[in-house]
Amino acid sequence: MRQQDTKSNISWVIGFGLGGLITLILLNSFTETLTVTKLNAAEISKNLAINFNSDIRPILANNCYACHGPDQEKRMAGLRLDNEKAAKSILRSGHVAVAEKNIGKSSLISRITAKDDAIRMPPVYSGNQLTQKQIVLLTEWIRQGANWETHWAYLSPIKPSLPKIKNKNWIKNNIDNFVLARLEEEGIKPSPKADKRTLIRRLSFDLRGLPPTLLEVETFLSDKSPEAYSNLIDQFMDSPLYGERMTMHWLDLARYADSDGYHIDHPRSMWKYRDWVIDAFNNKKRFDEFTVEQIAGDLLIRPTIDQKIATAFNRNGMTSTEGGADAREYLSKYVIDRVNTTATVWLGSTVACAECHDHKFDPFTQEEFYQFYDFFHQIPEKGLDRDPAPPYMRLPSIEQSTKVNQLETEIRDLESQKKAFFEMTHDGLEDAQALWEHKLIDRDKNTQGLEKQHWWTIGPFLSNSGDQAFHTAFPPEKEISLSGIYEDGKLSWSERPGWEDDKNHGLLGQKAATYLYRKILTKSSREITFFIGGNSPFSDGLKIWLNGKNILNKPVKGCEPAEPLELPVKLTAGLNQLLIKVVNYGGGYGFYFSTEIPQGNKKLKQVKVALKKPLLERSGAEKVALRNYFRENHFKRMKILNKQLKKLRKDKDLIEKNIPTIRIMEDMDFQRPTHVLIRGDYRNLGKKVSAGVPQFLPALPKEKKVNRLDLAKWLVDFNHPLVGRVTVNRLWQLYFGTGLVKTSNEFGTQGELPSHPKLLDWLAREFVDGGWNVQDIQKKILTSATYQQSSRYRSELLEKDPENRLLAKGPRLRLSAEMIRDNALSISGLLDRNRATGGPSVFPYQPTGLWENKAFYCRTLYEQSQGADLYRRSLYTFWKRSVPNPVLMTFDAPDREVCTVKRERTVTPLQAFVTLNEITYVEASRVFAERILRKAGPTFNERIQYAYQVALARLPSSTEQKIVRGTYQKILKNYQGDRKMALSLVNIGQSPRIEELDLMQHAAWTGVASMILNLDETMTKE
Amino acid sequence: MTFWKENALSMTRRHFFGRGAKGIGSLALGSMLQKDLFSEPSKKTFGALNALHFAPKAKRVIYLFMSGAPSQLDLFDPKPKLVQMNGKPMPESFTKGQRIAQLAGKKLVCVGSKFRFMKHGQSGAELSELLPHTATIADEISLVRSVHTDAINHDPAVTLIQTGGQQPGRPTMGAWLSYGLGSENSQLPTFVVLTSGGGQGQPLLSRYWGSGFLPSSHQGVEFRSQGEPILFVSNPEGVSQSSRRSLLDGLNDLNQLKLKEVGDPEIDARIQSFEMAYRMQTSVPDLMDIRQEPKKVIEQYGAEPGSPSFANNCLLARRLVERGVRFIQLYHRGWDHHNNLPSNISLQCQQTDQASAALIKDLKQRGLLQDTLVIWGGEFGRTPMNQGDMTRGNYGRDHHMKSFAIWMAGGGIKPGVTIGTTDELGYNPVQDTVHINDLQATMLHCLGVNHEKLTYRFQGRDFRLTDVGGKIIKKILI
Repeated sequence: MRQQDTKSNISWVIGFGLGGLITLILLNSFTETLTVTKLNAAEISKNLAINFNSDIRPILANNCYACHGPDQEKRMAGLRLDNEKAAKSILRSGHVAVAEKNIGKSSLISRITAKDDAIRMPPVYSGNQLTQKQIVLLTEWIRQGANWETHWAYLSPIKPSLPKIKNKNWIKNNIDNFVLARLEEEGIKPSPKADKRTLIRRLSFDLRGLPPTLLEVETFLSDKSPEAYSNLIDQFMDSPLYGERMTMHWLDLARYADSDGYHIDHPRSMWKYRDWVIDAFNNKKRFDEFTVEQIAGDLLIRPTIDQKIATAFNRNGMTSTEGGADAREYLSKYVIDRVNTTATVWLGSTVACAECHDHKFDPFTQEEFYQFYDFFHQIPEKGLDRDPAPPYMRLPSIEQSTKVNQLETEIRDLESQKKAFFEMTHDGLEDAQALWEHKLIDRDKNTQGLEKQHWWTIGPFLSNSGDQAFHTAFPPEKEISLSGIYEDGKLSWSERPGWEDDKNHGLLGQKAATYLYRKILTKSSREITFFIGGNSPFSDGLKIWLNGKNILNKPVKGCEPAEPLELPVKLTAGLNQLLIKVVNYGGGYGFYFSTEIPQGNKKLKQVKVALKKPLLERSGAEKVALRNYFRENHFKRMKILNKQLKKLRKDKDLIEKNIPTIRIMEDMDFQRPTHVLIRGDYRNLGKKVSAGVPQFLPALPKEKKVNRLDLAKWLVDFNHPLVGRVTVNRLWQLYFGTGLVKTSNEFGTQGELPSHPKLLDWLAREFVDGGWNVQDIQKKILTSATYQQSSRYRSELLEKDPENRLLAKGPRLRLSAEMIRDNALSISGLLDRNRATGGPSVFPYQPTGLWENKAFYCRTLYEQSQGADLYRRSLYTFWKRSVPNPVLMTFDAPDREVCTVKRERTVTPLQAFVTLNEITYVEASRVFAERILRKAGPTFNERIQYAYQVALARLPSSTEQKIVRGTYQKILKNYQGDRKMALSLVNIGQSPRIEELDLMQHAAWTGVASMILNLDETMTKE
Repeated sequence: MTFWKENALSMTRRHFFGRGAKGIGSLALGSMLQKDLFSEPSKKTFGALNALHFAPKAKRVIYLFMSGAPSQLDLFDPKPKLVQMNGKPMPESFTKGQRIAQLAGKKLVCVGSKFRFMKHGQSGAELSELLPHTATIADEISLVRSVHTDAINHDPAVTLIQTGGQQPGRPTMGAWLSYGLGSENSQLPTFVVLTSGGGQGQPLLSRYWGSGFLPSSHQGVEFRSQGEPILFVSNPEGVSQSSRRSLLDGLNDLNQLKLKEVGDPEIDARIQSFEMAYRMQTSVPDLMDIRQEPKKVIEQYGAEPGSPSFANNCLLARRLVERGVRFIQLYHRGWDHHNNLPSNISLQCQQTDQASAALIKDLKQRGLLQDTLVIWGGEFGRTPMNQGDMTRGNYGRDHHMKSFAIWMAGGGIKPGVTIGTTDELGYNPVQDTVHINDLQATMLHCLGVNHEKLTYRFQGRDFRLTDVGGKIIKKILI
């Protein structure tokens, strides 16, 4: 139950014990902007005009819509209160729920005021209950004529006139008029302007996600011109770092990730989309184009490659390849994800409920959900496709294409040389082949006449781990006694007469060893080859003894795949005893043995078959096969050619493997039918529907069949009620932490009302009418006096407006996960701020085993990046959905399974572990210490001042200086006499250490640097 | 009143009374004092619920999750008729129109269990010979043989059990409890995850202990048996604890200055978080050191200090329970026996049976069982039909969503009860059908929570763990 009148003044909470961790959560509770609802029931003046949208609809929506709303199936008594006409009509019972100006005739009033529990609405079982004030409001509303309005967010915004204000001097642009008008109404003064150091740091994080450099701060401080601030904004927006910062935010919306998400969570190649987003922001692409290209770039006339890449937006959703899953089910999951994401990002609306039934609160029917679904249902995906899942593009760089072409030409050339040699008629060659054939037939006899007796097996000998099983010498290793009984009588040798060579045989047990034994008799000694393997290359270890001599030890190392094995052995005349130990490291396992070339080697098999036939019986193909095989394998020239070819092919494969692919949207030629899925069940097909948009929103062109391009254009129609508002609201949220509409993901009737409705509409109109110019809106926000206020807390505001919804102060917000890491890297100097944007994802430091230990049978390996990639901005970190990077996750980065509009901000001790102990931060500390020691003057004070300026864009106070000095001395004392400790610390991380520095000083300054990186202020945009 | 507001009030109140009002300024105390938050001490929580909905029987939960889905037909649900029908075609009347996983399109043949079932304890619970240790706690557990689920493959099935829905993005059970009830311990996370180790089996996705749309502080924290017990808990090389203390003292002083200067209450929270982290550096390794346990106890569990195992984790779970951790999630993988079921399930049981039973006995002996709810089970069941090679003594079973078995014990659960019946071939439940949401509702009920009232508003909808379902399994409640 949610009551609009329970005003809460608490914006945050420190929860001891919540999660056992200290938790700071930005609460959802501040709903308050209304004038009427702030009054007590008794205070509601009969003269006061009641506003349906702000006063009445929330009461109806929260208490009544569940049974008297848009959902047909759940509707009771035929009454719906979400629709004016229905609410005011005569009901089946003969009553009228809402009779204009007639309280006595309105059954709504008699029902909500009834004394009898059985009659009173809302019913007791609903758990809802109206407050006295709500009853008064409803009554007063009907008395005044029961005026009805469409939900505010479904009406196109109209540019409001600027409200009148008193303190005109404070105003920097129109935004301030709206904010100040509200403050003056409340009798609250805005905060003073923040100082220039604070402002440049604030702007730098907000526009580039990084702190300002020393030089930037200096230049800004000395620029006394009135345009200095505005110029700084332009300068920051023109930096490539701007695009990266904006992309961090957009990737949450686009649920961008580098892995599939479901089940095995295979890696996928989608980073070209990230590059596209970065470029779009850096090129200041208009938001309408930005929208159209992502929704329907492929359907534009002669789309560019970039426009197609943009459509990857709708392919970023999770996919599965799980065995036993139903492809149809997943196909529908993928389409539903597109519907939900598109609706959340552009319409600020949750439509997910309508997947199974009509929306309970908003006028969104199930049929409309599937009409929307149809837009995204037309690409040739099947449901359980692996990466690159069609439709996709390959995106070789020019270099890659050239190289591949070149290699292909070379390969073709060598192949034609080979072919020429194969087809050459030459008596000498043919004679040589005949000789070879005789020899081969003889040699083939090498394995003939071998008497391989049947296998014996014993096992599983259980152990705690594969390793232990491998290294434990179980009894058969010590002595082969086929009548032996082991493990308390549980294990004895079994004969395996049915075990054929060249076939897989399953073995039992996990983390266990099984022994196989057989006798091989030969009349004379000879050399042959054993082909041996487990059936799982990932999990089986092997030990082999021939005639008591250990000839092979091959344990499984970690999760590395093992190669199949070819083992040349020498058999002695007479009896040979072969003992094999197969060790399982987990999962299933098995065994394979052959003395002949395995079935799998088709080429050689064919040759062998052909050889056995008399010349005349060989088919043409067999003759060719034999000839080619001979010529290929017996001439130096061919060997060289083959070696060259092998290398060329390997080179080509390597390049092709590295050619990025990207999944895109591309409709099939035919129309895939879309049905309503009854109760959301993919097997339960209802009515057939075609593409369309919800009725309560503007209509699509009627004259033709519509596709995604029409949808995209519809979204950016200048009159669309939602898209402009939703977008400017998110931009506002980017800077103030909370949008003007707090529920930035929900603009429907269940969302919260805007704190400054007129400001929201004004911004939306400016945005849309001004050509969907994102940077223009950003600049308006950033140049406002509202934004430039100091972010210090004021005690009177903590009481009145702890969440700062009235905007009487500037935003003070902990940085996002990415920014916290990037900040540390930048302060230390490890981050290359001038590096070109874009490129594939990188793999920063990560504790070992994090991926491998939870993966599907070990099948994902984390290969850490090297060099500069270890210190790349965090938006390039490989985003594996099932095991997201712990450094980022700990600071509230989402796993990107679904679209995230707003991240929560928590405070937990786990965060302290990251910023104090994680290798990136420790390395950043010691490199920052190096920077301080090298760049600052020799005195302690010079050094600490330098450090503060780099980290915080300000000088330390004398008290701060004193505290830092005290800490430095204590830490220094700790290291004195312990060079080893100091050395360990200053060698952490891959970047080279500057050895000329005094070791003790370096270690102690590393401690100080770490302290500075961990300051609340360092991690906060002030 | 929404839970958020209740949360805000109770938390703030505690903040006020427990910690002083530093940095907050004066808040509207009047509205808070109206609430009789602490009138019933047994019902107060430290989470978003400012009071429990009814008297709780359990305070915490240990969930022994058997990832991969153990075969109920070989462990808990004897089917003599299926044994008789061994090798015969599965009657189409059972399978027609049903969702089938990897056996789709294949010949469906009955396969009976090769394992013997016997009645155990005074309750006469029927268990297979694979579970000799569980047999000894037959009178402590409540066996439910009629659970069914909505998903036929692993990922959505585990997601459903953990979050109440198959679609990603929702909070898991532990996260809900952390959010709703908070912790009884300020030194440790509310929701701890322990995995048995090894790289073999169905994947474990962090979604399975994620916080979904709840703040990330509610997600499960993994305590690891290999490497650091919590990620990054240890000081880096070259940093002694005294050097760390000096750093933290300085940091504390500087942050205090900042707090005084700007008055942002979040700074206070950050200061506390560093101090708590410092304490956890001692408390967590101490907690994870099972060598401290008497040899007898270690043997009872079959634990082996030093290497990760299910047995070690059961023992750790008890240590966590003693320290007031609210929700402890164990994951043991390797139950996905499509092939070679008899040998593989025997091994799985060898790794889990003894420790599961030891946990129940140990909890009971310490008086903790009465307010600790223990749940044992996988994500779905396995088919009465064979999969893979079928020879004398060897067979396999595919995924089965229509029926499987779990057991529960401890706080609020009636001991020594078996409920639920499946048909003669073990395909469908025919009596006391239990859906996953019902299990979740029952778990919450034991904890004193009405599952329909622990909600969180996200994107305009009040979500709950039990989605739109959830019936309490009354027959197994005390």
